[in-house]
Amino acid sequence: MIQRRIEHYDSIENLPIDNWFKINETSNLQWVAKTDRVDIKKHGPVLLNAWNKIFDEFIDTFGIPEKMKEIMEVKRDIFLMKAQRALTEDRSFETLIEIEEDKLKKILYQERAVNAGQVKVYVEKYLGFKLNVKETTVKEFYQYVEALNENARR
Amino acid sequence: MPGDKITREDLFGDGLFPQKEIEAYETAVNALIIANTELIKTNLKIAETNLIKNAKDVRELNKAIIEGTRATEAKLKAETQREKLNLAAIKRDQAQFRSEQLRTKEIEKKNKVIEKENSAYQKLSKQLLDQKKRVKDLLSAEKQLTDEDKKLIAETQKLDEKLKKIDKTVGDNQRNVGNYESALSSLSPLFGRVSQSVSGFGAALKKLAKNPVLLTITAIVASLSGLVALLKTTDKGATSFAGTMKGLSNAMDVLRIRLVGVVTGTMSLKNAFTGLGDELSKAFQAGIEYENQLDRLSDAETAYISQKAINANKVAKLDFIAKDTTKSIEERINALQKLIDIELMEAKEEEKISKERYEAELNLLAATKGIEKEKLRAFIESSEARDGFQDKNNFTDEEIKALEESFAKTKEADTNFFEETKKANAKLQALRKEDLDDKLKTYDINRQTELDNLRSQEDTGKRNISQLDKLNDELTKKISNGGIFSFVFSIDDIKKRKKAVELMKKQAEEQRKIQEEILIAQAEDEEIKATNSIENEEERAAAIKKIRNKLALDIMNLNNETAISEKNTNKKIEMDERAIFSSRLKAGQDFARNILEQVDERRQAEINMLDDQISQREKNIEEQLRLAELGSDNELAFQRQKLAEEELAKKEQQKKAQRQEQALKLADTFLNSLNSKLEKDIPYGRAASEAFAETFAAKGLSSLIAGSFIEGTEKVSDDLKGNKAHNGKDGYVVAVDGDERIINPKQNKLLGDISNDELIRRALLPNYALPTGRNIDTAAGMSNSLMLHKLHSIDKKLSMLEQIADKPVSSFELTNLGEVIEKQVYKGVESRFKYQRQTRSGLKG
Repeated sequence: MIQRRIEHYDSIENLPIDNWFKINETSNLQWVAKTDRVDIKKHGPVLLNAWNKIFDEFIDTFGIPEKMKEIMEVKRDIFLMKAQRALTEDRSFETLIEIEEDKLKKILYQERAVNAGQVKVYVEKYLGFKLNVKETTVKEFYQYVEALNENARR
Repeated sequence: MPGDKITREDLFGDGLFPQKEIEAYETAVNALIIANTELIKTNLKIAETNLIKNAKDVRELNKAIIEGTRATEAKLKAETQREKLNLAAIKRDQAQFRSEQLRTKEIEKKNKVIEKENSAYQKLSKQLLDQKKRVKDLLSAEKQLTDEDKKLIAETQKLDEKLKKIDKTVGDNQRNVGNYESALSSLSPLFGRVSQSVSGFGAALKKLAKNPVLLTITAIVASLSGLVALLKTTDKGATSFAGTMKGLSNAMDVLRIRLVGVVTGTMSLKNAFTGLGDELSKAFQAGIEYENQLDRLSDAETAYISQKAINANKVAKLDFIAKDTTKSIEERINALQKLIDIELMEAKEEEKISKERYEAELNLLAATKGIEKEKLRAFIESSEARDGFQDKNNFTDEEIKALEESFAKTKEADTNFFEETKKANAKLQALRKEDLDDKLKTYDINRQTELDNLRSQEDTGKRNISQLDKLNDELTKKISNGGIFSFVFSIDDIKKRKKAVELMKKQAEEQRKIQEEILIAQAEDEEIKATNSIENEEERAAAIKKIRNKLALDIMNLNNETAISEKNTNKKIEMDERAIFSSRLKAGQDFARNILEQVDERRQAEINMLDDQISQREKNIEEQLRLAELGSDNELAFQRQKLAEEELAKKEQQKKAQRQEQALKLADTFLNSLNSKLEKDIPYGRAASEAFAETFAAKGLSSLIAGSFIEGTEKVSDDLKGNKAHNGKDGYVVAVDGDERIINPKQNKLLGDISNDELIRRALLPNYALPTGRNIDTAAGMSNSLMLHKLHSIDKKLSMLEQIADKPVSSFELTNLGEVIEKQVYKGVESRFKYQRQTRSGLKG
C-alpha cells in the first residue's frame, strides 16, 4: 500500500516552541507534523525519525539540559534496581524502586510546570515583549534562554 | 454464554492437560526466563556504562531502559507462571493422593459390609439347617402336623427363599466386572482365602482372574486338590496352577469334540472312546506345557519391553552424540555403531519371542486338534495353493477353518504385541526427540557459555602460571646474584678475605725483610771492599760512614714504601668490602620487601575473603531476622555469633598487617640509613653504629611491635608479658593508633582496679544513686526525686522509641470503591494490605 507523505518539521530552526513543549509534555508525536489530523499508526515511523533528528540537533546545539540529565540518571537508577530485583529475586529493592519512582514523578512535575509556564514568562520579561509561541522556533527560544542565563550570571 | 467459555482451569485442570504439554509449557516458561535474563544483563551493561554525553547516548540509554524494563517485567511474569505451574503440580499430586485415600476408604467400607453380610448369611444358613433337620424329623414321624409344626415348615421355606435370594445377589455380584474378589470372598471363608491368594499371583493368574467363571472353578478345584497352599504366593505356583487348568480345559475340549461327534453321528461310540485316554493325557500335558511357555514368554516380553525403554534413552544419547559436530568423527562413528548394535539386538530379541510364541501355539494346536505338529507347520508356512494343500494332506474343511482361525488369532496376538511395543517406543522416541530438539536449540548458547568459561579458566590459569614463573625467575636471579643467602653467609667470605689480607701483609713484611737483608748485605760488601781498597784510615772511615748512612736511608725508604703499599692495600680491601656489603645489603633488602609484599597480598586476600563472608553473613542475618519476625525456626543466634567471629578474625588480620607494615618500615629505615652511610665512604663499623643510633628507637620498636600490639589496656605490663623491651626507666615501648587515649600513671593510679569498660560506663551513664543515711536533706531529697522522675520519663520515652522501632506502625486509607488499605511501616519498610468489601458490616481481608 502506498503511504501518503506527511508534512512535518525537521529542525529546531522551524519547529515552534509551543509544539516542542507539547511533545515533551505529552510524548505525542503528532506535534511534529504540520497538519492537524495525523494517523499515528501510519505516519508514526516518519514522525519518530523527524523527532530524533530535531532532538539530536537540539542537543548538538545547546547540550544536554541539566534537568534532562537528572531525569535520565533517576530513570537509570530505577532500571538498575529493577534489573537487580529481577536477577537476584531480592524483594527489598521494591521499596527503593518506589522511592525512586516518587522522586522521578516529582522531578517530572516540576519540570513540566517550569518549562511550560515560567520559562516563557522569564523570557518575555527579559525581552520586554510577548512571545508568539506558535511562531518562535525552538532555536530562537533557547537562544533567548541562554542569553537570559548569561545575563543572570553577570 | 459465560458457561461455555474455556477457562484457564479447563486447560490446566487435573487430567485435562496432558503431562507432555505441561512439560512443554514449562520448558517454554524456562526459556522465557533465560532469554529475558540475558536481555536484562545486556541492557544493564549498556545502562551502567552510558555516560549521557550526547544525543546518541541519551537515545541508547532510553532504549536500554525501555527494553530492559520490559524484560524485567516479562521475567517476573514468567517466574510467576512457573510458580503457578509448580503449585498446580503440587495440587495434582494432592488430588491424586486424596482420591487414592478415598478409594482405600471405600474398599474398606465395602469389605466391612461384606463381612457383616457374610456373618449374617452364616447365621441364617445354620438356622435353616437346624430347621430343615427338624422338618425332616417331623415329616418322617408320620404324625398329624400341629399348627406349630406347619408354622415351622412355612418359616423354613421362607428362610430357604431368603437365602436363595441372597445367593442370587451374590451371583449378580459375580457378574459385576472388576469386583470378583469381594464377591467371591462373600461366598464362604474358603473362597475368601482363595481370592486373597490371587493378589499374590503373577502374570499368568492375572489373566485368569479376569474370568470370574474360570476363577470360581479354579477355586473349587484348588480347594479340592490341595493346591491352595501352592498358589498362595509364588508366580511359579500360579503358572503351574494355570497350566493344570489349561490342561483340564484341553481334556474337556477333547471330550466335548468326541461327544459332539457321537451325538451328531459323525463318530461311532467305539471310535469316540478308542485311544481317548492317550489323547486326553496328551491334551492335558500340552495345556500345561502351553501355559508354562506362555509364562516364560510373558517374562521374556516384560524383560524385552523394559530393555527397550532403557535402550530408547541410550539410543537418544547416541543419536545426540552422532549429530554433535563438535565431537570428533571417530567418536561420532562409534556412537552410530553402538546405536546400530542396539537396534540389531532388539530386532533379534523380537524375532526370538515371536518364534517361541509361534512354537507354543503350534504345540497347543497340534495337541488339541489331534494333528501332527510338522503338518501344521507345513500348512502355515506353505506357499502352495490352499486347495491342493488341503487335498494333499487330507484336511477336512472344518479342520482348515479351525486352523486358519487359530493361526489368525496367533498372528493377531503377535502383531498386537509388536505394534503396541512399537507405538510405546515411538512415543518414547518422540518425547526424546522433543527433548533433543530443545537441547539442540540451547546447545549453541550453552556450548558458547561453557567455551567462554573454559577460556576464562584457561586465561586465569595461564596468568597464574606466568606470575609464578616470573616470581620464580626473579627469586632464582636474586639468589644467583648473591641475594639473601649470600648476604647471610657473607661472614665466611669476610673471614676468608681477612685471612687473605693477613697473608698478603705477612708476605709483604717478608718481602720487606728480604729487601732489608739484601740492602744490609750490599752495605756489608761495600764496607769490606772499602776496607780492603782504601788505605787511608780517615778516608776509609768516611767511606764506611757514607755506606752505613746510605743503608739507613735505604731501609727507611723501604719501610716507608712498605707502609704506603700496605695502607693502599688496606684501603682497597675496605672499599671492596664496603661495595660488596652494600650491594648484598640492597639485594637482601629487595628480597625481604618482595617476600613481605607477597605476605601482604595474601593477607589482603584473606581480608577480602573475610569481607565477603561478613557481607554474606549480614545477608543471612537479615533473612533470619525476617524468619524470626514471622515466628519461624531460625538460626539468628548462630549467624550473629559467626559474624562476630569473622569480624574478630578480620580485625586480627588487619592488626597483623599493620604490625608488619610498621616493622617493615622501621627495618627499611635502618637499612637505608646504613646503606647511605656506606655509600659516603664512612667505614662500616661507624656507619652501622650511626645508623643503629639514628634508628635505635625504630629498631627497638620493630622487634617489639611484632608481638606486642595492644589496643586499650588497663595495665601495659600485663599485656606485654613475654615481650618486654625496657626502654629507660620502667617504660615499655608500645604502638598506638591515632585515635587512642593515653593517661599518665598518676591518673591511672587514682582509677585503681576499674576496667576501661567500667570507666566508660561510669563516664557516660548518669549517676542514679541517691545519698543514703538518715540525715537526708529535704532539698537534696526533692532534687533527687525530681531527677529520678525525669530519668524515669526519659526511660519511658526511650522504651517507646524502641517499641516504635521494633513494632509495625499502621495507618489506614479508605478508597472510593470502599476498599480499606492498610499501610504498615516496619523497620523502615512499608507493606500494604488491601481489605475488600464483603458485606455491609464486615470486611474481607
